[in-house]
Amino acid sequence: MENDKNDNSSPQTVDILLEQVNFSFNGEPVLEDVNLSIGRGEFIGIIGPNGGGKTTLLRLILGLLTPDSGTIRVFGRPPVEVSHRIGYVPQHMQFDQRFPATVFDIVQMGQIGQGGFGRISNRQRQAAEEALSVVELSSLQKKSFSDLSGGQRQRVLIARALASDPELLLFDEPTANVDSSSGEKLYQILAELNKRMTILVVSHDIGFVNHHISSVVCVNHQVVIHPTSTLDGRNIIDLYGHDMSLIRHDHRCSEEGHACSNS
Amino acid sequence: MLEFVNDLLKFPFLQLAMIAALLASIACGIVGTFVTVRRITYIAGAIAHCTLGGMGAAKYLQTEMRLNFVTPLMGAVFAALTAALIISYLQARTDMRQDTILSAVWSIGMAIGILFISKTSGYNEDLMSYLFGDILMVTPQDLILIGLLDLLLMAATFLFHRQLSAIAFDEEFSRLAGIPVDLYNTLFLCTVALTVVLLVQLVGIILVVALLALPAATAGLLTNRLPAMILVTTLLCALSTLGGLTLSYSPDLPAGATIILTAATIYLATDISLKIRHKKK
Repeated sequence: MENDKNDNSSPQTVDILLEQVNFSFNGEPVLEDVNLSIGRGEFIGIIGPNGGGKTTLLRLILGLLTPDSGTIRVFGRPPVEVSHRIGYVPQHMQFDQRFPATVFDIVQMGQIGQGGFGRISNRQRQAAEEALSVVELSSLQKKSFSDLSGGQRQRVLIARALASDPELLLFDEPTANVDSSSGEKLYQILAELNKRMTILVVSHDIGFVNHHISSVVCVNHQVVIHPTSTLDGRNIIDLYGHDMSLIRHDHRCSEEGHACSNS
Repeated sequence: MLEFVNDLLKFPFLQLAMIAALLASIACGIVGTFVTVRRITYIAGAIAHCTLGGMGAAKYLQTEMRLNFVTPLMGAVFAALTAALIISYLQARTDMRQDTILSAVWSIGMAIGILFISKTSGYNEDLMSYLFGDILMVTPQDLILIGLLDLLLMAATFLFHRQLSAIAFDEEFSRLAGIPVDLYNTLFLCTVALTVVLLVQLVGIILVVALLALPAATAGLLTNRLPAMILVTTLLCALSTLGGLTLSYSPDLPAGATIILTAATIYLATDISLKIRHKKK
């Protein structure tokens, strides 16, 4: 795929392409021979056991890590060149809960890549307000970020990612430390956003993922993609029949916890 | 207290000290806020202790080598900037632990200073004034320097506050957005270094960390936006330095120590009264 311009939104357009990607950390292989192609407009759930390489895969796509071998293309280009077109939503627990900023302050941080010094422009203000209304937090605009619940914080971080008008949304563990009704709310918002952008969600919680996703990417050192466009969510578990080890890691990923280590 | 006010009208050195305290509060308000929300007051501490190396070496060159144009302030600026660059390089380019880097820079800087001071003839009173500062010895030239630093800091904050706060909140996200985070961090540390040098002249090396940390910590309790926090930190710095100066005067106490204890008292009082109010609700 050498399509540099991706303004046409035909379903064939490939947003993310990984070819024979290998990545190791301290000599320990984390991902091996990964081949993956994700088309525009898909809603992908990335699942797998802890330590299986989910977050590594996400960071490779963001260009925060470089593969030992193989190629990664996002919008047909190396990830570092296009990272500003990707909306990234990190886990919300990693932040300083006492950081002095309002909800709006955090959201407009999503626009710093657009340059501009001093005060923010009217256009940027408008875009930030729109992003907040997408995540249904307009009423909390002036509230302190530290006063929000976990689920609300997560939505603020989505709005921050949306404020720069990304074409692709990458999401790390959205339901971690969020109660289940907030988690469901998050996925409703994501499903709505999916109408205009490609979404990748890393999750250990398949129960949330299966309502909305179009494909599941299973990551456990190797990567297997299962398109589910012709199936409904209930059948996702059945897909694991292709691969015994995947059935087992699904069990490890379930609510019962992660008692078993990687096989 | 009354004696202080009387003497303030009489003695220019006291007036200079007051103006220095107010000017330093602006620098302290801006840098203290950023250092606190980024949780790097210890980097400021390491840089502060390194200034001893620079000041000691400069004093040595001045008295022993007869290089009269070298002043301790120049030495301090040089040492602080060097320390800032070393820390920022080691953090960005190696996988050394941060506390190891800071402890190393901290102690090496002081060791160099003590070597030079021991080989410099004259009174060792200088060492004490480096460590604990002497706001009553401030010269008009010092005031001009602090004033220039204030202007620089205010301009930089006005222009770059969005970038600075975004990096402070989420460095990785800022990097992805295309901001040259390493460059910002290096420039930021250099700014911290310059501010530390000037604050060292006021309260001394030992207490500079507390003056950067305590007023900002109090302001953090009272505000929930960065610009407001900068403003309140500045006001609290002014209150602490002027208050500490006033309290130290009649009983002839070291001003550096009373300034910090004033700042600490303000923090405690604020924290306790907020907790009491919270309980009442």
